[in-house]
Order: sequence, then structure tokens, then C-alpha cells
Amino acid sequence: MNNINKIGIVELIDRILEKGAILNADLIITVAEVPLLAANLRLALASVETMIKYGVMNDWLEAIDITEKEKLKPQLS
Amino acid sequence: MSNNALYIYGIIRTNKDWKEYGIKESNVFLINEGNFSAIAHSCEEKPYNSANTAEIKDLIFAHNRILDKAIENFDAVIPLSFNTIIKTSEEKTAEENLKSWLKDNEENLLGIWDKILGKKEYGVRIYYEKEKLLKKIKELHEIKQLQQKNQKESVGIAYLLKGKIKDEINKIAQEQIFEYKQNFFNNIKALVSDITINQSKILLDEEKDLLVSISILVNEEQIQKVNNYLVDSNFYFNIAGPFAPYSFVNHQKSNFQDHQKSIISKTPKTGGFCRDE
Repeated sequence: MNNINKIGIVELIDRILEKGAILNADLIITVAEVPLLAANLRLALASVETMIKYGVMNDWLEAIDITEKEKLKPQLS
Repeated sequence: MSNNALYIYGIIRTNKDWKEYGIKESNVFLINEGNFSAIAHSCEEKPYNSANTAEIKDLIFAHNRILDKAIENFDAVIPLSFNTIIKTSEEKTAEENLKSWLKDNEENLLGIWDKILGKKEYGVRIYYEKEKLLKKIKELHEIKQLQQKNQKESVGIAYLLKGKIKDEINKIAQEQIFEYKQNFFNNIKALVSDITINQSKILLDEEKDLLVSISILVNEEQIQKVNNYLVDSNFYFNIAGPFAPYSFVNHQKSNFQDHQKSIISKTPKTGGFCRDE
């Protein structure tokens, strides 16, 4: 797995867990357990190369539609 | 435990019917109120969670898949974060609570919908090359002067001056990085519908030289312009997406200084990056 795919996953998970429209707090359930989920995910991302090595996330990477572009050029010329 | 709560994926502007399969193959349906409908499934009043990484990624992917499908069918979606679950209250069911919220927030939702319709979010990460930056700074006249002066000093004074040179290089580097960030932010802002600086809690090992991470809201033409600008910038960059417009459905800070203040206040201080001069 290259760095490009890792960045795509980080970008996606950051958004799904941290962002989005906010509903009034009194309407939604207390999500005290959710940080555990987020922590698990972040730990998973830290070892994402190992997961790919064992094929854990390959299907997911193929399924998610993350288009990425990169360009390397010399800087500070 | 009964399924009397509602898991909400996002909000769309429609009063038509739409069905899908969501998290854990749940039946996803729409709950309409006025101009808008919430994309929902019935669930228990507890958040989804798992100690199993594979299960977690399935949950996350299912949430994201529904939002992608909504964009395909309705040209936009106002996304909600994972595990947004509306509960019952003493007086009202979850559906009644949701409908009240949709009704009370219709004007706000109309504003957001107009802003995001036909546009998508991308994440842009721009990197700098630390070694090249430091080399450039060391070539500056003021630094060279200090280094020349240092060579003529006694051991004790030379030691103190070495620390001063290191501090000066770090200071100039921080100023340069701030200027790069500000320029990128302002130049990209001119090309897009909206922009915000990200504060990712995950920093990959390869990203220690990350200059700035931003989210942009763009149409097809605008993303091409941003790409062309970044190619011309001669900096290494990465564009990820498209995503549902997660970063643009709440109040946004509109200028670089506001973003910067917010980030500085939340970021732990780190040491200077010129460690050995």
C-alpha cells in the first residue's frame, strides 16, 4: 500500500468521524463510547501497512471511490 | 432493546421516496418534512462500535456508501457524522424529534443546500522540503554573517552564538512556513467555492513535512484550476476525494488568520526543527 492510499483513508475517516452537520445535542444519543471506536480506527491506521500485508483492507480500498493526484516537483528553486 | 431510535446518514432536498441498504444491511428510508428528507434507518438507542477493525471499517464504509449513493441520486447531500442517532424523548418519538429539527432548521438547510449543490469536497495536502528550506536559510546574508562571526570567537562564546544561530534559523523557517501557508490558502481560496484548514488527528510518518492540509468545495472546473495551480507551485501535493461536503455544512471561518488562531490554540507546541546547527 502506498502513501497515497493511506492519505485517502485518513482524509475519509477524519471527515466521517469528526465533521458533518450538527444536530442539537438534546436530540441525539450520548456518544461516550464513540471515542473508543475512533481510537480503534486511528490505531488501525497507524498499522495500516500491516493490515494491507494481510489483506485486511484491500477490498475496502478497491471499493471506496477516492481519486487522488500527486505531483512532485523541485521546490524553493 | 427495541429499534425506536433513528440513525441519520444525511439530509437531502427531496420529498420523493428512496430506499437503500445501509449499516449492517439495515433498511434505509427517507423521513420527509417540508423541503428536506433525512436519510435514516431504525436502530437501538446506542452507538455502533466494535473492537474488531474489520467490523469498524465495514460500519464506516456503509455510512459513506449511503452518502455516495445519495449524491448520485440527488446531486448533493448534507452529510452527518458517523453515529448520529436521534433518540426518543419523554414527549416525542425519534421521528417526531427529527421532523421538528428539520422544520426548525429549514432556512439554514436551504442555505447549505444552495452552497453545496453540484459541488464536491476534496482534501488537499501540501508539503515542503525541510532540507531545502534550511539550506536556503543558511545561505541568507544575516545567517552567513553570524556563522563567520562565530568562527572568530572563543570556545565559550562560540557555543552561545551557535545556539543563537540555531534560534535564528528556526525563527526564519517558521516565518517562511507561515508565509507559504498563507499564500497557498489565499491563492486557493480565490479558485474555489469554499475552503477550510483541516486539523487531522492522524499524521502519517511520511508527513512530518506537511505544510498545510485543507478542504475545498469545488465544481469540476474549479478542481482542475486548483490542480493546475498546485502543479505550477513546484511543491509536492496530494489531492484526495471526492467526498461528501463534510467540512462545509457548518459555520466556516472565512480567512486565514481566523483558521491560524484556531489551530495554534489547539496544537501542542513542538520544538524547533533545526536540531543541530
